Amino acid sequence: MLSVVRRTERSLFIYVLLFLWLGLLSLFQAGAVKDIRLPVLLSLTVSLAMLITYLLLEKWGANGDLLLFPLTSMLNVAGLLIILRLAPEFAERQFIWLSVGLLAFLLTVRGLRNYKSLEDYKYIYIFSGLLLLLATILFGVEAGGARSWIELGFLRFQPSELVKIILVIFLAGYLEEKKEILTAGTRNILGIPVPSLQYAGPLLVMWGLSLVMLVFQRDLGTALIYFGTFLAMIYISTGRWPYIFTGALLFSLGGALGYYLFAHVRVRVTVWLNPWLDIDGKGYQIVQSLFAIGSGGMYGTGLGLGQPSLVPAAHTDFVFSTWSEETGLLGAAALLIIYCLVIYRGFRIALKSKTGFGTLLAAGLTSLVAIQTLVIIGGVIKLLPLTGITLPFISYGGSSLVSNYILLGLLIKISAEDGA
Amino acid sequence: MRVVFLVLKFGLLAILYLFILRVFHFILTDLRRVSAKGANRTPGKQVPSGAELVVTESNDPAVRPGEVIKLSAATRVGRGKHNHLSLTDSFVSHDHMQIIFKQGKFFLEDLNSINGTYINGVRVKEPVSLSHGDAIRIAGVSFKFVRWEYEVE
Repeated sequence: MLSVVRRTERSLFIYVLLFLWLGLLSLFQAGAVKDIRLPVLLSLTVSLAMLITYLLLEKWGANGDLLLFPLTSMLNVAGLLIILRLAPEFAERQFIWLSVGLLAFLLTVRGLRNYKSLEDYKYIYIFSGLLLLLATILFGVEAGGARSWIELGFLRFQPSELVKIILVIFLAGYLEEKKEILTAGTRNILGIPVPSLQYAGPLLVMWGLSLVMLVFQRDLGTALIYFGTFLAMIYISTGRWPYIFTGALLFSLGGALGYYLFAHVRVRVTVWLNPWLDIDGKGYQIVQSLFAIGSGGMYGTGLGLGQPSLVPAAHTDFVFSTWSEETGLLGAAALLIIYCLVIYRGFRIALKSKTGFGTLLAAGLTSLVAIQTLVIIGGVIKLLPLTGITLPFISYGGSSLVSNYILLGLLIKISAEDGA
Repeated sequence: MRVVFLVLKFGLLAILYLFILRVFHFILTDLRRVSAKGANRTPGKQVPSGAELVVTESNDPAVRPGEVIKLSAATRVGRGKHNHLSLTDSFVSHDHMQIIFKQGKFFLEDLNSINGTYINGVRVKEPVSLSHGDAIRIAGVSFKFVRWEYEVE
């Protein structure tokens, strides 16, 4: 049975590599890359790095989920092609981050002896996570209206990306411990179980934390992801909808507050409601994104033949519009299907996990990816107000890529221990 | 030149979708394998070996925390000696509750006990299907329902 499974994974990698090289050929044919030597060298490195990672997994007999890694590799390769095409000056750095990410992935799968041990030090993790956030608020540098980077000499680092994983680990441990009380509640108000203050505490703390992110870092997107993941986890753990209801209400309240207090939030909302009023100014980004997606049509212009330079921030937040322009509706749908499959596998791991902690951890990490994908793609196609976050595994961004690979490693670790 | 672009464009899309089809194919075989496994396990009155109660808290000398009670097709709990698990606490009724295996699920039924059976803090009124991780409480004894459905042959 195992060898059949292995063969499946191996054959999936052939598609991934084929896609990378054919894509590169397409870019070269279209004249989208001037100097072919560097891209070829980088693609060669990536192909090798992915194969080595895969072979190491096979050699170690890591018997976790075998579809997740090929799926995310495909996403990653798609992202690399777009970056090679749009911002060759960033490509080199992204390839280095990818190697770091793969290394972190291998370390998580190999180095972590037992995922359940993560539960033991949850308070230490969350404390260090909060310290990191505090450091960002105090010493952070601003980019694109959000103050969420720490400058470390030659590289920039976005702590909130790492903190989101820490947060999920903490919440999984905490909710597993306090599940019964949170489910039953200690008092009843209007027939709704209400836990006493000491147990409702985390709900309020999380709400506060997201608001702090919103106010001090001006990072609406990350705040939304944090809080959304938290609500998903508390629902999975207790099965009580009043938590979702109250939480959504609290967040809307916070959002409304942000709308009146901060100009940049107000701009985002106005532009979302009607970007056509100010096409050359504030609405420029989103309008260009819509034009790009629209001009892609059914089959797209072909990789390297679109005009993505018209869309600002096309290699980070707007990667999806570029992708839609050049591969069309079919390409965009393929990408979404791959995300759905990743999320499906994630929740399957959660369902199969033997411990409550494992279930919550896997479900939380999966929700994280799901919400992040939804929020940024929704923003780019003007379904939701735009918030500047990365598209998991595709956008340019080192911290995001590395933490996503750690997340992947954790999921595979859980499935390896609890049977896939 | 146009032909080359066309071939490349559709070639790339084709690879993407072939990749997705391949993943779907794998997922389908995987699901079939799991459901075949489940189907083999439920025929007739065979004793399902798929679940147990783990004692998490107890003020009853009859059971200690950490003790594991394997669930059979029907497990009765109460103060009466004839029960599969007999407790001694006076808050426990003579026939307190039973857990029955039916259609692949475990159902907990309260047998009109005086002080009730609680699942996750909610009192049981009619038969409730149990899911993995549920906390069951009878008087001063708490159990955790553990299901290990697909792992054991």
